[in-house]
Amino acid sequence: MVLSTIKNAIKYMVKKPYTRQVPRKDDKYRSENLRGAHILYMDRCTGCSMCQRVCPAACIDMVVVEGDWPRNHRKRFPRIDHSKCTFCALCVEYCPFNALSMTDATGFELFTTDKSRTLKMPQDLKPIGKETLTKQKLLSSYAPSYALKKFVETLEGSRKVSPNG
Amino acid sequence: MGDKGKLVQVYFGPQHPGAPGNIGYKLWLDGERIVRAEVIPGFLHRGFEKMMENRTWEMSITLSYRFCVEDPDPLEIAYALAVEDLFSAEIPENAKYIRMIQAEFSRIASHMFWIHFIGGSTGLRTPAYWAVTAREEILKWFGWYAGHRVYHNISVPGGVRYTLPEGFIERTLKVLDFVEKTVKDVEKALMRNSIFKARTIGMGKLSTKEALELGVTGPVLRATGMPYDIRKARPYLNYDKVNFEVPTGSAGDSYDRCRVRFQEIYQSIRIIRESLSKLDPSEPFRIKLPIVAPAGEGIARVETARGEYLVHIVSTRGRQPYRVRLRSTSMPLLTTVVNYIIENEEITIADFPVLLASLDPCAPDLDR
Amino acid sequence: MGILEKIFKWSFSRSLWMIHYCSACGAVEFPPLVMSPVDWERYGYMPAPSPRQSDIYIGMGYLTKKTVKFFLNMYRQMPEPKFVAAGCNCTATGGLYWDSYATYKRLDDFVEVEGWVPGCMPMPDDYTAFIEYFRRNLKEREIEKYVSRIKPEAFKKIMEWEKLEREWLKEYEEKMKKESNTPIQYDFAETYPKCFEKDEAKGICKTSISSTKVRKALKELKDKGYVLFININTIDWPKKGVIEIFYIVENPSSGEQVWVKTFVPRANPVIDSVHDIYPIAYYIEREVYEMMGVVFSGHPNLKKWILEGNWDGPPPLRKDVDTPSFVVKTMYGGYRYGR
Repeated sequence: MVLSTIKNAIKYMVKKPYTRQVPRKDDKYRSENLRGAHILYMDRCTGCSMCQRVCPAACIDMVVVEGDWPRNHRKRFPRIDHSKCTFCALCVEYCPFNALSMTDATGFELFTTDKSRTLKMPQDLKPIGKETLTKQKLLSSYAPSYALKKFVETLEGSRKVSPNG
Repeated sequence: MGDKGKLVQVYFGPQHPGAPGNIGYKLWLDGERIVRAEVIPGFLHRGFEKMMENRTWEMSITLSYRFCVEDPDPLEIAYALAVEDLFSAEIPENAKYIRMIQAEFSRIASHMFWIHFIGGSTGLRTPAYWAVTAREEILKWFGWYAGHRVYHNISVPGGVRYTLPEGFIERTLKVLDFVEKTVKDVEKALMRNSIFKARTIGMGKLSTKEALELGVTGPVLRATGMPYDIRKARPYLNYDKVNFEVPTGSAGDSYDRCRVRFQEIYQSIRIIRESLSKLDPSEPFRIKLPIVAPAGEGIARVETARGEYLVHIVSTRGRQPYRVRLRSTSMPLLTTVVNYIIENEEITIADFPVLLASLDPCAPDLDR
Repeated sequence: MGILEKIFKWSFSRSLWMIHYCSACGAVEFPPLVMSPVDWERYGYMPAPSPRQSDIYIGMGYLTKKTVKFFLNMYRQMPEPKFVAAGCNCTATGGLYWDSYATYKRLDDFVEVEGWVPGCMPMPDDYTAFIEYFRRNLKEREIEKYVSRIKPEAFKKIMEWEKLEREWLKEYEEKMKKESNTPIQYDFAETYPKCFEKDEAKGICKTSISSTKVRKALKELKDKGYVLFININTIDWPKKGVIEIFYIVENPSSGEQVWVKTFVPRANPVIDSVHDIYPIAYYIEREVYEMMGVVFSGHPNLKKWILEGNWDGPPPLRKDVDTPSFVVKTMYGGYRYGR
């Protein structure tokens, strides 16, 4: 019967519309765990290039940033190509020093008419959204003893920072 | 036309609203009737088997699910299971249940997407719109739990990546309730519609023997009356510890295939509800696997929304697979089944999109 | 002229029709974008079934070589004014498929692009940023700039890349000719009908048989109830000089699988076709032929299928065919982390 379709359709007509009026009236979709553009904490990074090695999209390369980096004597930092990245968060997971994390900024914020702008140098990897995914979150799925050990190691690693290197 | 034996050649797709994705057909027409069809694949080929050889075990996960965008999670799980089989690792119970929830949500989302697809082909866009809203709720759930809407990266070799966020069970149940309600509405509107019935009942008939001969598994085989499902026949994860039925049809026509898919959605909802009650947040979700794999083979057999999927990994001790072989679940649907039905039935060009939609193939899955 | 132009611009920016071509995986986020959750029909966008009625093409993900050629052909049929926008990362840099031999890496190698929506894949909401920008921008620009043109060197580039592939194929064939004299170092014991390896939980029994008897064995297995043909797996062993082949058949009443293992020499990989026993093998054999270069004698239509238009080089799944470095050399100028 066509009638049953019509009956249901009328029921749906009086319902509140499901449409999200992005971007004029509503905000874009976000969530607490969204994997979006990266943040790099340059004071924690040691330039070990682990992120470069685990990146399946080969979007991370190590570049030299001039400055005074007590933990990073070779001054090598990851440069992330947001037009190549697949946002899988493997770099966040494998970073031994907790230097990378992700935000909820996705294509909405990254939209550009000139694609060279999405090639982010280390000093440009600043939070453009809320920090969502950290290494700690990803470690919490392991058994507590393992996760705790790993995280304390990470913290100790960052405590070693001292002005003298 | 008058000229006997003269056939008209028509290209159907890849740029065609009725084509199942970016894939084409070359059709030979006698008047309106299709007498021969030849699939033109390759528009979606990327060479996953080669690319996986170039990446380590954990990196390949990001590739493993990308060749069926409608139903990515069983593929991801299958790859993770195959790697775990190679490492002979036993993963935590929690991870198994989370993976089941993930796979069943993906199955529901895939069937929802199929409703949108067949709704468009038969001209019933209204139920299709409702199905897209229900699918959107599932995608939002994935975005909330896994951090991405379509490609989730939840299952990795060794378990699952995320623990339960706050309010996990309540939110999941809420999504399930919404989905169940919408699916019931969609089913009523679609399956009782006389236009839909007229276009699907008796069309594209397959018997069990023929379906097996053609290499078909999944809902299309089950619609012929054979209750064959890897989840029951060779249970992986914890499918042997939850209660569910394998819905079957009887006639094996397009309408039965639709009915089986709707029933499958209800069964998936049932599996998710039961799995949710078995989660234990205090237990771990993941174990650490070594970086270097032993030499050997890893095999996983998984039921996707389109049939049996098989991953075969060969390792010669190292950080990367030596060879990965993936089965295409949609290949029989797009090739042998279409050819068989066209040979044995009068399919006009207007019916062709509906026939393809009722089989629910996944075009990138054929190409890989 | 002023008022007419204004009317044109206003109406054009409010009725942009997108060509309905779901070219890759990014298309899966278009139903939510076009339909209820985000509903971009509010902006007058609509998928049009024919290129002749559409104003805009949106690249939705990876560009296989076949798709690019098809797209260029289709784009030429679109009437001006027309635009190209690029969603997803694969259109911008090659994305995750940077080492794929079957994709082109950048859409702007071929055509001018209006805007880029990064992400893998971009969510429906992300495209609204592009839509907003585009609507505003259209009103401001000169009317002559109402078209994204195909770059003049687009077709030349494609031809050059394809030439490189064909040259490599020639090299490879000559190399295989030289290798055809080297002897095979491979231990093989026939165990059929017994299993040499059994996995009870998965229901897999592996058995081996020499390549000449495969047809007979598969016929017997089919009579025993193994009616479902699952797959043909191939493993290339260049050091041993062989290609191992697994025929996988399945018994649907018990879920058991039999893996029939056999081998062919690498230099001359010929084996009997089984497409008349299992119809689906017709297609799987074609796939194995083009990917691994195994020749199935007795197959009526053994020619390129999936790789046709995508790859003219040597069989890519062979172990000594290093496609990643070839791709990095030709597409990225040797720098794999580049774009």
